[in-house]
Amino acid sequence: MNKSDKLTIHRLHPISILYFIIAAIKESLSFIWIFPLIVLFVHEKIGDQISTLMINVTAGSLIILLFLVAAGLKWRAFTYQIQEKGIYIETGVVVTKKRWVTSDRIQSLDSTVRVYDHLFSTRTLTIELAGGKESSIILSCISEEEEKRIRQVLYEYKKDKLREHGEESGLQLSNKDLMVHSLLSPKFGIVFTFLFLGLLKYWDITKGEDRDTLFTYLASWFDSNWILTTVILMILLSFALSLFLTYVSDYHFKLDKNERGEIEIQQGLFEKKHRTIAQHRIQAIFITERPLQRLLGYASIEAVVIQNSQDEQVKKTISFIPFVKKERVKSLIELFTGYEKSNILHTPPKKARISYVGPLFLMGCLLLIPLWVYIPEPYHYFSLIIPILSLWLGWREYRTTGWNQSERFLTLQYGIFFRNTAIIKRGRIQWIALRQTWMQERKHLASINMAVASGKEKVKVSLNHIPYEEAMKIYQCTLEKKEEA
Amino acid sequence: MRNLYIGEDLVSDMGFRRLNEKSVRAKMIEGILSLCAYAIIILVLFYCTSKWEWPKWIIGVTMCLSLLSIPFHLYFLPKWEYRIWRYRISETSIEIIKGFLFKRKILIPMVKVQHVDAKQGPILKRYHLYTIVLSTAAGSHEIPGVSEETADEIRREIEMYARLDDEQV
Repeated sequence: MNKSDKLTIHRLHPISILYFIIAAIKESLSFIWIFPLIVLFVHEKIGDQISTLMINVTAGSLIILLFLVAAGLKWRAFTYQIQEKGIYIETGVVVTKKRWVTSDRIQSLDSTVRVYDHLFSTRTLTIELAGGKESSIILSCISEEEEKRIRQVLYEYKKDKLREHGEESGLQLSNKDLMVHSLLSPKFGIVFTFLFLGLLKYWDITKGEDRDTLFTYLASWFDSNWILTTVILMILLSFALSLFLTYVSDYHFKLDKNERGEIEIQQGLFEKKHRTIAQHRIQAIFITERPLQRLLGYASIEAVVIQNSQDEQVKKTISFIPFVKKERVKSLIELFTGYEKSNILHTPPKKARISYVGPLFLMGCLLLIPLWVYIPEPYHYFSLIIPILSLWLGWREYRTTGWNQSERFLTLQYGIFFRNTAIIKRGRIQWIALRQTWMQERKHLASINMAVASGKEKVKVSLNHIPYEEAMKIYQCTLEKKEEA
Repeated sequence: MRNLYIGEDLVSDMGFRRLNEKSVRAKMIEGILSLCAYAIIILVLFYCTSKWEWPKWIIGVTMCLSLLSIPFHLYFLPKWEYRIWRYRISETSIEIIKGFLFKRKILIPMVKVQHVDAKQGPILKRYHLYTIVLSTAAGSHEIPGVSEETADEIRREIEMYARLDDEQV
């Protein structure tokens, strides 16, 4: 790549006008109420001369034109230059803004291929910077070669160190993995429930009428045991739908470690996402085992990562590995992030049982009273399940809870239905709180809450009813890291 | 056995500071305001009951609860808050102790404090008090009711300690 190529002024692909239109619409959503107001006003004034439809159409097309022109101007004003040590960007129609970003300030380069990007084989590159508002630069709709070039130039500067990470040990999800994943994921249950409810509603609406409904067709097609066949069909349909949803989000999932030790994640069917996570931005690792997954020995791993993006859609955690065999969790986490999961966990003492079970049981009993009163005679015996269920839930929580504070990492395990394991590096905890009720005081127990930072909000983890001394140990360990350093 | 509960720890560990005494008065005034709010709610309920014949137990329960809460708002809560609330600022951390039924002891490592704000509402202004807000990357914590000088002092202290180490978030 010669020097002149680097210094030429670039514009985005014209299709990014579309992106600017969408952005403009998003920005102006809070002014949307003006539109009906204008229509109403014009209607009041000259409504007797022109039809309402005409006013609507004119106003609507005017607004669309406005958006188009604004987006076009924005596109024209947006230029960028890739230079030796950074990127120079000029934006703004009325107020011109010039930004010069050196490549050592860049936290990550993430690329997304949106649905419309497929048509023009373009992609959106998000350059995330350290700190502050407006800390990401979005280059919408650039070609693949351009993306590669930018990545190369911006990274070349940093490339002096490392390169020895020869062994590429990526992780990929195969089609079979995705299939099992979608079957075990809650998506399947949710889709099934929705279909079932929809069918029931349909039944309810068409029940009284004589005309042919879906059910009469089904009955005539599948003869006598049509109900069973319908249920099986529905299961298959919801499986197909959940599989589709899983494919959309996790298709071609690929986890890699690049030569700088950063983690690269690629996933998606329509929207291909390519994400780079630097090691030092990871705040904590969460391992979630849902009931069904746990039964079959699978888990999913999420990472809490400091993000600057102000985007509404950014979630608190990033899906690190959506689906993996449990045995591999420990080694994979260590390989990619260096986080160590403790295998040996302390468990709460026997005297803490009542603290787990008691309050839940009490709540279950309280809930029982109105149910017993309001549900008629034979059926209200069913409500007796609730206290028993609450007892069982409390017991589950007691069994799940565990913790271990090692030299560098704090491992916490908690949850009722899900088994969650959080691994937090020492020195990543933003604040920690020790809690005690009078019950706990008498039993020398305590609960702890802690928070780690993620981009948008805090992520809170808590551990209930553990011995006070242990809680105090974790509490004090929050600080110790500094003294070592 | 030592350090069995948060309250005991507080006695054994020196260096904890209390809130300003005047915060009791400020809290009482806040209590009066909350009682006024209750009174308005009761009036609205009274109107609803007479106009649309709402069941009488709604207003009955609300009135009982409000009456019961009067001594708490005007006397016990402000007193208890003052008695329990402690904070300590050291080189490495800020610690806060609060809560009567649910005792809480919060630790914020000094390196995690991003910025310190002092805010003052109309009630606190009358007593020349400030509420200090300590913000971290994961939410903020408050120290309510410290005097103006103390607020300044705390700010300076945190500034000084925070400058000592330049660890990242």
